[in-house]
Amino acid sequence: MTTTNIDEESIQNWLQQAVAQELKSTPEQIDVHQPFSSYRLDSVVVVTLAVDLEEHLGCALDPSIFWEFDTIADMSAWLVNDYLPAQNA
Amino acid sequence: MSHSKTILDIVIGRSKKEPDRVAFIYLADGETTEETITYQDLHDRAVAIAASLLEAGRQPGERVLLMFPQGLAFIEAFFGCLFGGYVAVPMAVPGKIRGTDKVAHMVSNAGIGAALALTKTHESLRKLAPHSAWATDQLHWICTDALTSVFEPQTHYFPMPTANQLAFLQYTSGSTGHPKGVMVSHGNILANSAFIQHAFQTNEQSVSVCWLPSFHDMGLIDGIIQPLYSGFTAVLLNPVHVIQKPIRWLRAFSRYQGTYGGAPNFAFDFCVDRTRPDERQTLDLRSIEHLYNAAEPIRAATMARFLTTFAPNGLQPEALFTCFGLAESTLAVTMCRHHRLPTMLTVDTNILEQNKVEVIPHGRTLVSSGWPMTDSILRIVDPVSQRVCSPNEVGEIWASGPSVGQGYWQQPELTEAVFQARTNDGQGPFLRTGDLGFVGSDGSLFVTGRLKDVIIIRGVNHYPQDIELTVEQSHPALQMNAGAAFRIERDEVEDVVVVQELKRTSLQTVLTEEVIQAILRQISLQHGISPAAVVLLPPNSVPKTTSGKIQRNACRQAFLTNELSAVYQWETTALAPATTDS
Repeated sequence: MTTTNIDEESIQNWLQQAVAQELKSTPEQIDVHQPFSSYRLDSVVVVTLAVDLEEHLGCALDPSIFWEFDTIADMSAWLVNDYLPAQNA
Repeated sequence: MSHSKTILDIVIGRSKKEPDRVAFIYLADGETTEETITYQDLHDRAVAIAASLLEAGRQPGERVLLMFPQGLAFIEAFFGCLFGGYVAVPMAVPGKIRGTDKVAHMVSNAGIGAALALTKTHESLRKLAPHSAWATDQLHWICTDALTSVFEPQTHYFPMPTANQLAFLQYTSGSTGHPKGVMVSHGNILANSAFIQHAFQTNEQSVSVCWLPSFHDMGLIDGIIQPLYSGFTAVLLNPVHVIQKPIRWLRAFSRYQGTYGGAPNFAFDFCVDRTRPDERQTLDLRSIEHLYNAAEPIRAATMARFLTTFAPNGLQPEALFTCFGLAESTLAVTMCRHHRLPTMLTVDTNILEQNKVEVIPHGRTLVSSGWPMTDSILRIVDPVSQRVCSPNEVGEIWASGPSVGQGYWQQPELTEAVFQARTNDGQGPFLRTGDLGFVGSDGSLFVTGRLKDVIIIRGVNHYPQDIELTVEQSHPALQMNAGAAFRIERDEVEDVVVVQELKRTSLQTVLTEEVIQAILRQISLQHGISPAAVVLLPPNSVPKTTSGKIQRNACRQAFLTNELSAVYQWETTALAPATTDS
């Protein structure tokens, strides 16, 4: 299922929601500029997030991106500006 | 089967008696895509692989690396090694960022000369680690999926191994720099397989559902060998698929009317926390007869909520059991019995911390891990004095019997210390498990703690030395050999804390936030875990022995009693909980 009109803000919101759900908290508590590593995201959680994000975006994702980008904001920017355009090219 | 000397005799017997019976079903997508193999095919493929190793000039007794993803190809390769008289050394396929160093150490430690893998695995390894000798030209690589040779009984003859001969090395113990290969013989395999069958009375009508990785003792001995030993069909899943969606494990039980399986404690919590009511609705778990919790500390609360959650699906309270074991004893040391559920006791927590057991009406609930096999002996022994403990004392769990492995590969001193221990009154030899516990009045074993330093998170072993090395290398402001990683318990769940000294020269200028982020990032990248806390210390404040060795226990004590003179302490971000349950 491909989703069109994906911008940075919508991915940020999605990630805030997903991380909040994993940590049993609320999206408002998840700061998109705070490093992932300050949240309890171990490799098991990351794999789950990556799978769900894949489904949402409609293309394959390597879970290692959660370790390559420090913050939700950084990852969203890369996905929108670099990765997704390359998939659709 | 009482005349069988090895598991190979059993495999040969089944391939003759029931050649077309399905031995294994692998769910390649974790759902419905089945890959299957019959007893005959397994036998023939294994022997073809054995022949290919022989033709490549590999000598009997040589250690052969097996690097496979979860699936049937691993099973063929494993038995291929065994048929050829080689010693199989299964290892996880290293991930993108971590693991290639560890492989190099294990290859060197085991003296490996040849490797079996799928073509695609070998190709990706060469890309992942182009400068690692083991991935390129140091080892003779045989891609088992590319073999076309067919077993011809006239041209290929393999002598049957004896019970004493080594079957495989299990490298789940030991840190990256100091791997320890447990030597498991054919006799060990049969003894432990007989124990498991006796405990749960598995038979040819059983159906197991297992997702533990094949290179792990539980995934290999119980997930793969036990079904062959007892002659029943096994359904296998990939651990990644189950971690992503735990419902897949339970759905497989439902679809195949599984009767038997096991998993670490966290997996039972995952099944409760990470499945949705609508997913659970269609599950039929009435067929489950024996589901066991093992491989990491058992929580009474976990078992209770699992039973409650899945009772509507027909899961019986009499279906949940427990076991205790370790690779050094092939797999199982104690197990419940098919008709004996785990015993529970409530004890005084403070007194337990002083290594004594006092049963009180309202205390911490402990769940036993069952009883040893009749061919084995357990002793609870004071780890320092080697004195056998009295009944209500907690001590180190020592075990002896035909399941105990032969030792660590080429480490005679460590082997003697760990596998050939004697009590101070001369009883032995025993295996020192490194775990702590006591034996209840009904003879059942209660595992209450751990002596060895290993930290177990989500069923995976993490060695403090490895984490400490990662930490000290993560930022130039950090002092070498001046840090400790240790485990703590929060709500009976194991977690890791890291303490680390700053360099004297960095004290004034260091940006603590930056250092903490570097530490967290590297731990996450290298080990896939996230610590509960990181404490930065001033120089010369980490507790050490007079010979300069870090005292992890003293660090833990100081951390728990807030006595560390921290320059900066970081704890994982505490978030306000969501107000409604999803």
